Amino acid sequence: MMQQPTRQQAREFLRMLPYDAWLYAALMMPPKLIQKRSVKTLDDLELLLRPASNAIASVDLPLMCDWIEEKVGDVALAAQIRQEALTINGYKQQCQKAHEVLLLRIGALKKAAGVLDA
Amino acid sequence: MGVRSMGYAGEILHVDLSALKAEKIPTDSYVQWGGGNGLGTKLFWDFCKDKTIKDGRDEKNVVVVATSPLCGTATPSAGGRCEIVGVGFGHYPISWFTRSNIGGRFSSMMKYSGFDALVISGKASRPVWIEVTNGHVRFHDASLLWGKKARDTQLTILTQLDDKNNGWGWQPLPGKKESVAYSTQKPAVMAIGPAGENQVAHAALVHDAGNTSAQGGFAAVFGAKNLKAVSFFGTGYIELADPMAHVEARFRLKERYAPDPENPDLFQWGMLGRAAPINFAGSVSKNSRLQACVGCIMGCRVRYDVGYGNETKCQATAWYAAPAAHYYKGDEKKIGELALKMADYCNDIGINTYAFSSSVRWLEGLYHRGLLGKGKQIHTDLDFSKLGSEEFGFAFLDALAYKKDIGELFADGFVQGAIKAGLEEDYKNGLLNHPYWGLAEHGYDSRAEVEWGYASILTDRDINSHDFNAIFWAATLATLNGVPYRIDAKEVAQIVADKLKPYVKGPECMDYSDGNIYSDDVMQLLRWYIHYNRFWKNSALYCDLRWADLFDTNAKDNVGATADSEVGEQVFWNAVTGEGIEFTQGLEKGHRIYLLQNAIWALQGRHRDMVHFADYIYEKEIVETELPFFMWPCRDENGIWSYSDIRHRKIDKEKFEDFKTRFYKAEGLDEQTGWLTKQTALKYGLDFVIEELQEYDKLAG
Repeated sequence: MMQQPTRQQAREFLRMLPYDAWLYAALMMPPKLIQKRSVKTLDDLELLLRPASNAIASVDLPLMCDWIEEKVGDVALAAQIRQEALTINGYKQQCQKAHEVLLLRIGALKKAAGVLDA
Repeated sequence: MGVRSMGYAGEILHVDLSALKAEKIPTDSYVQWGGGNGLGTKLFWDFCKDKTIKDGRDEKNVVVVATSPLCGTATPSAGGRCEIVGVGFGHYPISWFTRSNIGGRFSSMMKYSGFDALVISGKASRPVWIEVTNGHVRFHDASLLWGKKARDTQLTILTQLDDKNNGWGWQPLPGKKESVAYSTQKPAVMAIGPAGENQVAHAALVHDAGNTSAQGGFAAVFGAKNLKAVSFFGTGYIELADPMAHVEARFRLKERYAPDPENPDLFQWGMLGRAAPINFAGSVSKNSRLQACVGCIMGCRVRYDVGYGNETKCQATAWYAAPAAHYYKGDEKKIGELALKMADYCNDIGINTYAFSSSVRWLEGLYHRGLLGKGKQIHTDLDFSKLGSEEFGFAFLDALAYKKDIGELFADGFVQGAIKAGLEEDYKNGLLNHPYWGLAEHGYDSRAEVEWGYASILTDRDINSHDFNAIFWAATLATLNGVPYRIDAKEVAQIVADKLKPYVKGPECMDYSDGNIYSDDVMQLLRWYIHYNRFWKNSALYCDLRWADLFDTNAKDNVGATADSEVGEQVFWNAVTGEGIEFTQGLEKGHRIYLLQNAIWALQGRHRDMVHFADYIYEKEIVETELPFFMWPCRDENGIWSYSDIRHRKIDKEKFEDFKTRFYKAEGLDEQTGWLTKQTALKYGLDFVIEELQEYDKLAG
């Protein structure tokens, strides 16, 4: 269970990051189509990891956790993904678990920040 | 009319736009060059009187649109391709003699109308379009077409050619009696849109809805020549040397490699029978069907019921989906809709998405770095805070195509624009990831997948040939999805090595571990790759999306169709032409074509010292977050094969220079300059180049 963030922390974690803090990732769509993405927010990351029948996220998951910790600043989220997702077998399963954790966290952050989804 | 060789239409059409005159040349003396790239290169050599030109928009440039004997036949995934060669536009530092390719039915119609190739020289004094109907050539005023988008241009021409104007597409046939004077077939038109008219480097030639010749900048060359469109229409046919052998080979190919259309296998290993389509349509519509080029056994495009996105594919459908996903917060319906609409618009204005798709991310970065915006280092009125929106997408594409706003700065190419704007450092450090000849990376980093990078820098453009790349996709997708490798690393290396004989000794050529990527084994793989492409793919015109089929899990033994004695490339070639050549003789032809192209590049000013990657390839390791794995067969220190991640490296400049030296030597090129030697020219029957090379002091040895 992650610690509930303060309103200020939540807003900080949900912000758009400056250019030099973006995470480079991609979507891979079989049979052979790569769509490169710049991940600028946690919302972007959620979109990238969202399970889809025709695509799979392409991102270095340990480095993604470092990014969440160091660039986004959400130490608790990074720790939770490392603990819950990176310890299970299989990249795809790790992505799915990371997405689950992230989705819950974003919900909590938005609630704490008083942000309503469009 | 020349003597008709099997598979050939028999004549080549030369149009001199300066004089608005046409002449017909027998194909016979060019048959030794095969078709497509080889045929086009030799025609360029013969018709271009000044090969020192460094910009394809030069009036002296000659462009050749060339077919192959296989065009217009039912050869699997080869009948519908068409090659375009000439000096291109948009490379850095010099726009090389280069090539491009387009699918659909253009090449078939060209042959049915009686021609194997179209040679375009000179420059029209005003906009024109060319009509070719069953051997009859007419130049039309294109003043009223100038300014029209590519699809409207095609529609206008089709309407004009339908002289009964009854909407049935009855095409008049010159020289025929009234009672049999019409055909129900539809002409094949290749046109430029506004981007070509404005001569921007990333302009694309467009044929039908979604066939584009994008790389090379030939649409800008058409624009510079005041050539808006070319239409071919014919009622002819292609005579095959052995029709039964052709049909039998096609059935055998189907038996071995055809997929189950009801249950597509996304994790198949191989090229033939690979799942289709290739696009980013999201969830736009399930009511659709596949569409294919002439003779294709699969179809990689889609026609939808929604009224947009028809026949779009690949990067054209993907480039805007990423910004749209951010802007529309994951609204899949909107993202899919926009992905297809943007692809449609790119094809309509005639623009090459590969040229700018990776630059969009760089431009977005410039905006966030405070270097791009109103009154910034690069001024723009485009609102980059709205990148991903429908409104921004159209405005951005208009800027590029109509040379407005930032489109003017980048009209000669993105590297050229970056340098003009004082941002050369971004090119050097890879923020603008254009690794070879100022052209955008295709998605496969040259530091990892070395054959792609090596072949691109040692030829003239992004090689865009997925022969070996199929391994990356198969192994990486399997790793990502946690599914078993269908073929283990040792076996795939052996299967591929067997296909590459006699170029390679054994499977070590497939070992892309750090210590082996500069080896003679990999160098020999590279030579096969270039020769294969120059003949079988670019000249015989086998489609890159299906060939080479080196390994294939649809077959019981995992062995692909390439070079196979019953279903290989040469089997169909021989059934059509009657030449009876071995697969390896095609490779020898590819070698010869490549040598001739080296002669042209030397005349343009190439020296081996220019043949290098952008600085970041040598100085920086790959950004590690983008792909979690770049899987490839490698051997460890004990010689044990496995699929390994090959991201963590850069190219060693000294070792690559040494690799180049050995490559040049093996090719018969001079090691000091990279130029053709007299000895090699004589050995390969290229004696006709000697005098011209000597005149410009570009012949070595």
